Amino acid sequence: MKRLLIIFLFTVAASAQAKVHDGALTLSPAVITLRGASGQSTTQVVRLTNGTSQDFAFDVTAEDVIVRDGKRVMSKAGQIAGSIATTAAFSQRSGVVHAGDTMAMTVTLTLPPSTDCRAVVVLFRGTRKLMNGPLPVLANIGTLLTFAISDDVSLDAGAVAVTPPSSSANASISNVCINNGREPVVARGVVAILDSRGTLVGRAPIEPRRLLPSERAVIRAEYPSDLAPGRYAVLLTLGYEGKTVVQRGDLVVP
Amino acid sequence: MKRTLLLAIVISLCAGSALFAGRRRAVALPPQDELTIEFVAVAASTYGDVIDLGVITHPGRHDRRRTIVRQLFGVRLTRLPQVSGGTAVLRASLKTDDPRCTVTVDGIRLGAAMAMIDPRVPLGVVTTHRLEIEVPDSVPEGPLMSGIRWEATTN
Repeated sequence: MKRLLIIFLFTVAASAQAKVHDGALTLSPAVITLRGASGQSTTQVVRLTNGTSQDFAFDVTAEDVIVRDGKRVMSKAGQIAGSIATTAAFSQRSGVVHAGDTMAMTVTLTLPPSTDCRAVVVLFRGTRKLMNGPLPVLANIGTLLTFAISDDVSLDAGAVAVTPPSSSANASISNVCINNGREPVVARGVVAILDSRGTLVGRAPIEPRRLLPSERAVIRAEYPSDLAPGRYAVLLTLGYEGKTVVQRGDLVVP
Repeated sequence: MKRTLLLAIVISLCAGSALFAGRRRAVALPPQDELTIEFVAVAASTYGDVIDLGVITHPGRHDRRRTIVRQLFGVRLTRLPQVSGGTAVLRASLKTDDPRCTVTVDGIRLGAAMAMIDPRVPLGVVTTHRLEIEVPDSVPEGPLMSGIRWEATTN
């Protein structure tokens, strides 16, 4: 066994002398945002491009994306009530994308009459190993589809936590958000820093964050510029689906 | 005559669309974008100290002898058009669970079921992961494992 491993490891060492970049697998689109009503179906075209030097053989499946304890979990089709994934119909269940080729396929999904599920991942599951140097790897790549079927959107933004800047770190602003509505939302926003007179002295963007119903996330922003010693007000403004949430915090720069 | 013909065409179009409408289609909201997964071997010259060619032994405790293989490797997830601060989900599993060895990535033990490696992998950069394979010396010679399955999905 040792001999086998040593041979394996010499192969690793020899082949790892140079960086290996053997292409990539690309799936388009990466995310599809849908709006509709229960009972409606949608057919989407998904394209897989094999940029590696090896053929990519795959099976395609759909899995529901649900939220447990505030975190996303994927669930095999049919394992939850109101599974959307179980309605998936594909133009083909498996195939081979030759090196350098692109393959398009369609997936049709139907929203069950009564479901709390709002997201599905369409997964291309590699069935043939790709060699990453000496390591055989299999690749899965998935497109996320989200569904909104009502206007029940709501975001609960918690208290703002502010960490003052230090010699080695920027000022950071964060808060915990929970999507307590029934539909997915993409929250985006900005942090504004006001001095004691209420004058805007700086702002920092908040990167967009998709939240499924019941999903919890820490929204963060950093303010990279210098701040003079003093007391500041921090206004964190989040926008989603035409609504706005504003939270206020205090920042003291020593 | 022209008006009658036009009316007939309109009626037939309406009837046709009603007949073939079936379920109403949900409306997709663009943009069309793409997600890419790419495996990048990390150069030994940079990370050579992590490739462990040795055998860990426990003197006097033959039953504790084992061989550990460690390797760093990179995965790059990219989204186009670029999403500032975007992340993706990275999960991994073994193609087939091999009870003769223990495989971990970043300290997370892999099995046949998908394990979460990182729920928020930054896009556009190579993230380095540490693969560790542990094999007891009692295991007879033979292929170790069939491969690691990596899975990337958009957040």
